[in-house]
Amino acid sequence: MGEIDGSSQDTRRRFEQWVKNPRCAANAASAILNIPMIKVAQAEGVAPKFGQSPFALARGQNFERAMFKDDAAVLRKELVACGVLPASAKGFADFRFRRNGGPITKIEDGLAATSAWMKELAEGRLARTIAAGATIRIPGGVMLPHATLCIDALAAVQRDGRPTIVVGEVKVYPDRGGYTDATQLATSRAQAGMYVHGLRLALEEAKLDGKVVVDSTGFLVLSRSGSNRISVRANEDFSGQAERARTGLATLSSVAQRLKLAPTAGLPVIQKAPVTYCEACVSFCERAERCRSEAERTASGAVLGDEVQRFLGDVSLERVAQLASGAKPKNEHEQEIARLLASTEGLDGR
Amino acid sequence: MAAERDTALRLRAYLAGKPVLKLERRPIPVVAARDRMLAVFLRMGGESSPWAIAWKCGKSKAEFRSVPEARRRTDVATMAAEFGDVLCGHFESTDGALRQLWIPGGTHADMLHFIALRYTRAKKADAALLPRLNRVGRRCSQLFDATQNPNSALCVDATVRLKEMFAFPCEPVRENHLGFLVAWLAPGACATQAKAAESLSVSSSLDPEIDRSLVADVEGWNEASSETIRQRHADRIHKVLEGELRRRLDLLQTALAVYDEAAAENPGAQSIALSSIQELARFGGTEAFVAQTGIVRSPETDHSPTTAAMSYANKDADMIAARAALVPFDRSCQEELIAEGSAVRGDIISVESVTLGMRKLRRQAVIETDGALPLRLRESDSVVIAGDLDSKGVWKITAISDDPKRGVRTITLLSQQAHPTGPQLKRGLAGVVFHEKLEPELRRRLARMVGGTKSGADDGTARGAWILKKLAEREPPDTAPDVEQFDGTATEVVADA
Repeated sequence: MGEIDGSSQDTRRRFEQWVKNPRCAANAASAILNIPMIKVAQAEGVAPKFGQSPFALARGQNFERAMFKDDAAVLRKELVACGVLPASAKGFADFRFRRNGGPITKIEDGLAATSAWMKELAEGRLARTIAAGATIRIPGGVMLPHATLCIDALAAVQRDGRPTIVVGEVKVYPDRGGYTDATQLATSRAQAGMYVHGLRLALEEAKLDGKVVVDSTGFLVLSRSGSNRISVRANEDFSGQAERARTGLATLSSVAQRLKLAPTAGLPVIQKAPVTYCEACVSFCERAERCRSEAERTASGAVLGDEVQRFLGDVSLERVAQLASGAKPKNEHEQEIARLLASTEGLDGR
Repeated sequence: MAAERDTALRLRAYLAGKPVLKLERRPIPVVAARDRMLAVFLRMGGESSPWAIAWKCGKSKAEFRSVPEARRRTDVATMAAEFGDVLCGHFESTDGALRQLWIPGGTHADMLHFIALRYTRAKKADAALLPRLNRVGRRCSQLFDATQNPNSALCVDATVRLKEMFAFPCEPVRENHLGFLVAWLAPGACATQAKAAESLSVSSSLDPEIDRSLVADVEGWNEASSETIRQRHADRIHKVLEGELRRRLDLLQTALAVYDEAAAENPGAQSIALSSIQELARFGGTEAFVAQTGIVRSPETDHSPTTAAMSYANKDADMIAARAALVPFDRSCQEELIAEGSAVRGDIISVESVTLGMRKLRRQAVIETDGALPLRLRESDSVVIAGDLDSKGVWKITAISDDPKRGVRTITLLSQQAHPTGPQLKRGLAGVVFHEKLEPELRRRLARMVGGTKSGADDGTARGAWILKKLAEREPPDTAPDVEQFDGTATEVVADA
């Protein structure tokens, strides 16, 4: 949830794409230039294999609409029950785009409305304690060409005498307690951490940072198994993820400066950039198979996973085969590889 | 180091150009066809209830069920109840034999959990349907728990078992696809065939393309003006879903056959089978309690910290019990213990009889091991010899010393019996493996202590409260001065020590 538009990706997605494989120059260029890798893959004749079920998309939209219906009555009830909002909290600020059931038609309108809401809070008016679809822009220069975030849900409360924004992230997957998918939870928390950091930057830019505080703890809104009811996980600590976003964006910014990519540079730059295949590429990059074939051709240990690649370092699988056949190790590292291979001698396959 | 062993096996598989066995023997029993049930699920994108279910009991023909609209809760509940009747019947008519449910992978195990969460404590449904739904919820909860328990063979996740049995020449992330694994394990398999198999979904989710192709029929079914049109849409949806179910079910059957033939069964697997049968009997007892009292354990919570602690200790005990059962019979399991530092392999340097105190006669052995390997065992830890099947010959580590120059580690061991059981040790014997003594019963006792009153009698106090009381009694009085108040010198502190 939290889409900006179909043609480009929002900043968070670009950032997360880069984080999955920061060693790949093509991946960095794709994130910085805001050209999704699927476009590069399509230009190379690869049929896209990732995609979302239309039922899943519809379910996400319905889930969100039901939650924010009647001034977010459903969400408010749960947030009050979890202690995120006081029982007296009222008011709903709807910054969602029209296609998501809100009143906003353009990004600029969303940005202006969100900015007005933050000013309202800075003046001490907590008339609208839940905001849906808040849109913020990370101040210039962090990434090229723009940096926009769209936040699912925010709550506004008075804490220690200051208006405080509490970040929420809405996901449609079911809350299964300790068995909830760990990867999905980590992704949701990383997303929320990015929003915490983005909001702090936006408040600083608007010179409201002394007047409004962004809480490091927030909430996740998940579904309940086999039903449309919501399950709120309050007191989620996003401080680590916010720090990860801060340092990550700074690193990406320096990468952007080092690569010196013109904002108008197109697909060819990404196509020509060197690639570094890793295990994570399988889960997010449409060019993964192409890069894997290249890794296979060069007998890179990456085709057997990150752990093998880390262990082998610069030693190729070709050299490993030589060591297994009795070649003399040239250094300590190769000796270690030979020792490891010897420990499994006799296992020659099924 | 355990990761290094995985790396080594993966490299071996790459060099062989095909999967290699990770274990010498199959760690769980595969029951006869009449005692097993196979099940696969499909779900609509974004939903957590089943859209379609297929099952196959023994040698009978496979059954396929689906609903046209997975968002209609009543239709889904009716389908789930029908599946539940068969599932519960399969495990209830055991005659003391082990029964199994086989599923293709993790997302199908998740579906068992979804059903458990949805129906175990459901309160609103047709009066005839509700008890059946509650029953399937409880059974699925038990089976989902079984997928997380290495000491249970009631519900077998085929993907997990093949990954445990074989090392594949690929990235670990690719091993979560059953089709990929089965393709690699086929005779004369190659990477191209595995890659082709990988492109077909085996999880409970459909390929988004198939979901897209069904949108028109699902919408048509919802908006149909007559029963005939409705049925036509329903038939089309069922046909597509049945095809998807059938493919997954066939794959699961192939995977089961491959696993069954992979290696001989570890004799220790019978201990896991026994514990699974006991688990079934316990579940029968719980069902009787539910019928009598109407009280049902929630699948969402442990209700209290003591119950959570008790469950944790019991799960830990199950893990240890599974290891204890399998390690004596499988050298690969022993290799894993050595790799993680919970076992050592060494040459016997000396064996002698020693007298402790006035009369105690004991055997003392000194072994020399590879000094580069990790060691989690410490002095006064108990170990047993890997070939000691009863694990009754217990040895205690009395000294560990490293010789970095020679790259060896010397370990001195003292037997706890005058005549320890297991292989006879003698000087010069090479490659003897000693591993940690695996004692699940200690953990079980801890679970009982945490979950009950100290005496076992119901004295009205909260469960486990006696532990907190005991701890409070033992807590030494806080006599240490605060940092700010302390005005002594460093010399005085050392002198005190």
